[in-house]
Amino acid sequence: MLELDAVVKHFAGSGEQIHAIDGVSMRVDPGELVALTGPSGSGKSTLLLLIGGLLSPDAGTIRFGGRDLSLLSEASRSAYLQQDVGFVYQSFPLMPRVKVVENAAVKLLLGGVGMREAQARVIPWLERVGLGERLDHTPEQLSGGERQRVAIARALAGEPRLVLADEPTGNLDSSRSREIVDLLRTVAHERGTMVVLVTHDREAASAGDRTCSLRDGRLELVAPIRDGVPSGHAAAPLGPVR
Amino acid sequence: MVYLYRSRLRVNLAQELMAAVGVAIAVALLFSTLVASSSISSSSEEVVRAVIGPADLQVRSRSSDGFDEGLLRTIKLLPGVEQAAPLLEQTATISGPRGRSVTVDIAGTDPTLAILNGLAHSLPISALTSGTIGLSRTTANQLGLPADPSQATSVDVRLRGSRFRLKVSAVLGPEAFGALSGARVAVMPTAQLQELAGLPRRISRILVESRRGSEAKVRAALLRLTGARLVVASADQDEQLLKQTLAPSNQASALFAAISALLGFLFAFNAMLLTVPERRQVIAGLRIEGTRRSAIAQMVVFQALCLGIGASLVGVLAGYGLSRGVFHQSPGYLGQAFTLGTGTVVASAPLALAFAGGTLATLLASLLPLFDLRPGRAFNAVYEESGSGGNLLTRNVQRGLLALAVGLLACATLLFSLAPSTTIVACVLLALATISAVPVVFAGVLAAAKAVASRREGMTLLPLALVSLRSTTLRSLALAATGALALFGSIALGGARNDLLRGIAHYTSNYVASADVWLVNPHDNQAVNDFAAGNYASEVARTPGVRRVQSFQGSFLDVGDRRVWVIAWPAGTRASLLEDQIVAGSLDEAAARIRTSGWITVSQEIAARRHVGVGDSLSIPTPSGNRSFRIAATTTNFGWSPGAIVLDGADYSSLWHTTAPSALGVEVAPGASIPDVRRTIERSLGPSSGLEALTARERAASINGSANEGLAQLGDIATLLMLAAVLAMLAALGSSIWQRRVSLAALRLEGAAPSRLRRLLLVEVLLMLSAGCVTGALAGIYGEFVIDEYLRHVTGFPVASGIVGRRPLEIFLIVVLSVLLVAVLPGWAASRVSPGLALEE
Repeated sequence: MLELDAVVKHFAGSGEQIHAIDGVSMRVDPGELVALTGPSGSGKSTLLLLIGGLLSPDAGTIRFGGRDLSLLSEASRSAYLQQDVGFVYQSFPLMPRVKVVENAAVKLLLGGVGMREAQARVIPWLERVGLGERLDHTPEQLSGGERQRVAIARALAGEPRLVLADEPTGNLDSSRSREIVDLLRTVAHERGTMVVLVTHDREAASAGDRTCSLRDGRLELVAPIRDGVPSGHAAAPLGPVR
Repeated sequence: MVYLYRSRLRVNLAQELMAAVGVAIAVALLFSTLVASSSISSSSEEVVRAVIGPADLQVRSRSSDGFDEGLLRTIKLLPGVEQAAPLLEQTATISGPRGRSVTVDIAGTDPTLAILNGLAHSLPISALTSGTIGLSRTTANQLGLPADPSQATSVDVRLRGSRFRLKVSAVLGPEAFGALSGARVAVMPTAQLQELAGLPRRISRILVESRRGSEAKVRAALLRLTGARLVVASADQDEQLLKQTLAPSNQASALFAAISALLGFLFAFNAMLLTVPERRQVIAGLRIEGTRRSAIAQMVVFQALCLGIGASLVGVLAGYGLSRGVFHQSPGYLGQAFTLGTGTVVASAPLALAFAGGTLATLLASLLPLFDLRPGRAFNAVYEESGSGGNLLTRNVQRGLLALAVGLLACATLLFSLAPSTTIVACVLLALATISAVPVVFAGVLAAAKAVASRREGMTLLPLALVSLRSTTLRSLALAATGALALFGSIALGGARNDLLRGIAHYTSNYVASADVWLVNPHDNQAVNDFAAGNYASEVARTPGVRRVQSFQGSFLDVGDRRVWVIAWPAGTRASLLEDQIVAGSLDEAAARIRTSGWITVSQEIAARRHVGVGDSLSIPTPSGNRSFRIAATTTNFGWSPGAIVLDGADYSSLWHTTAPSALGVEVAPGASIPDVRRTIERSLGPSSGLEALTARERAASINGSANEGLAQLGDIATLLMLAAVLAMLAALGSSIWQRRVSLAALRLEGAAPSRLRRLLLVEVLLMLSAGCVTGALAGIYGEFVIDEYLRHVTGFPVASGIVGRRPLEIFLIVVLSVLLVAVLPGWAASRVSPGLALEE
């Protein structure tokens, strides 16, 4: 379970403090896909970095599986990112001139899995994202959307307990976009994976089990999705709303 | 274009500076090598011209005893002679009050030479005051004397076996002494030098200025007058003789220059590769805005020219500094045969070559982004590519490069086998073959690593490094090629230099083994300056512990365009100097024959030039005229590039009209201690002796030290080449790692710990360097063999057999470990990159 309790993150701006995250509390349960929406600069990506343990909160706590992320050592944080988290983001840098199947295996290699086993583990995921026929292609031979799908397969192949997806459908057309979000939801539901999906895309957001909206660092709305539409200012069942 | 370039510099100053540094290093290497190698001959030419002034002819003695000065009057009266002036030249060792000593050429002259306008026309009369000696500024500096003669003290002069104390009359700077101020020379009145040298009324040279159009007539008259007993030649003959002597080392320098130039191109290419992705983006942007291809090409060329010219300028200045610092020297081993200048002379050719080479290399290396201007190339595709244009090395390209490498290797081998004198061209072809082979070896290393990784599933870093290397192929290859070329140069040239030094050391140990203690003029390693034996031989023979004293003779002799080393061997001494030095003929037969009159051994190269062999006759110009000898054997050149002749001591005494030894060899009685006997001899000689007593081991060390000094420049350049390559690879590695920080951040985002990233980077560097360095080391070993053969068979040097020792492995390890060690720093910095960077970009 992922729990955020009154998390605050400030950055020093020119002469003033920028409240990137201003007292956010929320909880994500296993098997749940939470969509995080909000305008540019609202703090969505900062929140992902905090959850990923890449930033430490100025106040409040973030717990994953009961562990306070801000207390993790560097080695434990690396292990957390390696074993528990799968990051998917828009500008994911694939290695040029390296086969799709090898590119997708990189995270597993980093985790100490041998190349043969890593490839065996990523191929099903590549097939699930529709790249089963393009395993031996290189990123130069793929479209932007296909590259993005390689990145998703790479993140999911490690079977992380938490997927942090920052605009993963930004490079995709609407049908492919829907497929990817469906895949993330299926992964969440079938495998009990927690998924935090940051997106501008209303349709993608509507696929979430819940949607949260961030504005000026504050979580303004936490609502369960009902038939693809947030149900309004419902009482937050998973934590206080600020 | 200026505006665009200024904008680019504002944004990418660090990358542009990195590229400029790469180009500047290359230009500095090339320029310093060229200047250093040409400076000895150029500055010595200036010295020769300062001595001879307007003289166009000279009459020179073939022996150090000179000839009667009465000949001057006769020559002055010859029709067509405008004027003539006498000169007596002797080699001496001067010691200053601070204990430093310098071997110099002392010129005994009189005002007539100044009238001739030679030997510096403004020589102050005080410099020719009786009882004093005038020193060039360089000599005074090396002795640690002040420039102001009034403050100067007396100096010790050791000349022809005797020691004298003389007051310094003047320290002669360029205003009075012209180019001679930069040479190790001294002047004194002719009569005084004649007296000190024990050569009354003798001179060694007459400089002759013939009237306009009369040179041929005067030359013929001089030849008639002197017969073949004296040399009649152009006044500037020394220039040609020196050039011939320096030919092998100049060729070695030319090879270094060629390798430096190739390395330079790779440095520039490496450096420019770092800027390629960013420049491709700019070019794509300009095309989207409708800029014509020709305008973009002009912009690229303009920027490359700005960078190339700026960097080349810095490189030339740095190279000049190097040539005056690290490489600046005037080899002492030549000092006995020639009056050398010590100045650094920058000729226009090296300047133009280095400048144009640097600019051209930058221009060529900058052209990579222009691949994106190819017709049919969709410019918007550029935005979707993160690497460099033309980065993919297809199998066909690899096959082509392999074929090219094999072809170049075959050409080099064929060229070297058919025409050994073209070894330099063969070595340049080898260097090109090395570069061409790198991609194939690199592919081989990657395949081998892949095979290892597939067998050892647990080695997860290796496959990661392999995929990472494949994504930066061109840059990896450029870095590997830099390492390959540096290793090729260092191993081939450094190895050949070491083989040569070992060969000379081997010869030296045989040569000095003919006596236990040697008495020679100071620093006279070749024993070519004779001395008035006086009572030395008999005095030494009476010293306790001495069994026998032998007189060795020798001198330099101008034979054709060569200043040949003549070694006269005493009859009762084993000709150990010939051991292992025979090229054609039998050692025993040669050793026996040169003890009989009329036989000589001669260096193979001299024999080949005169188309004679063992048993044939060879005419030699001696002080008694041309004399015909039979060749007992042909030999190496004993480390003296123009060649050597060995003959019987009795023949030498008779033909050179002298019994004066140039070395006394002392055989120590059985049971006596050699160092003790040496000390006793030194004491018995007394303070008036100018001779040096050395044990055989000490003399060998002195000779080897001199050879080492002569070849030090090559060693310095080889080291600098390696150092520059390491630095250039490091700079390129550092910036390529810096450029990869976003992808490294992405790996950190995926949980890669900094320590794992550091290990990954080190494995990548190791694989890359291995490919380059293995190629370079193998090519270097072959190159060493080729150069050894050239030295042995074309120049006739005694080269130790080219057994591949540990040196290639040592250099390989030095380069790989230095780069790995220093690459730890950028690797450490890069591994600490914030993972958030991946999300920000």
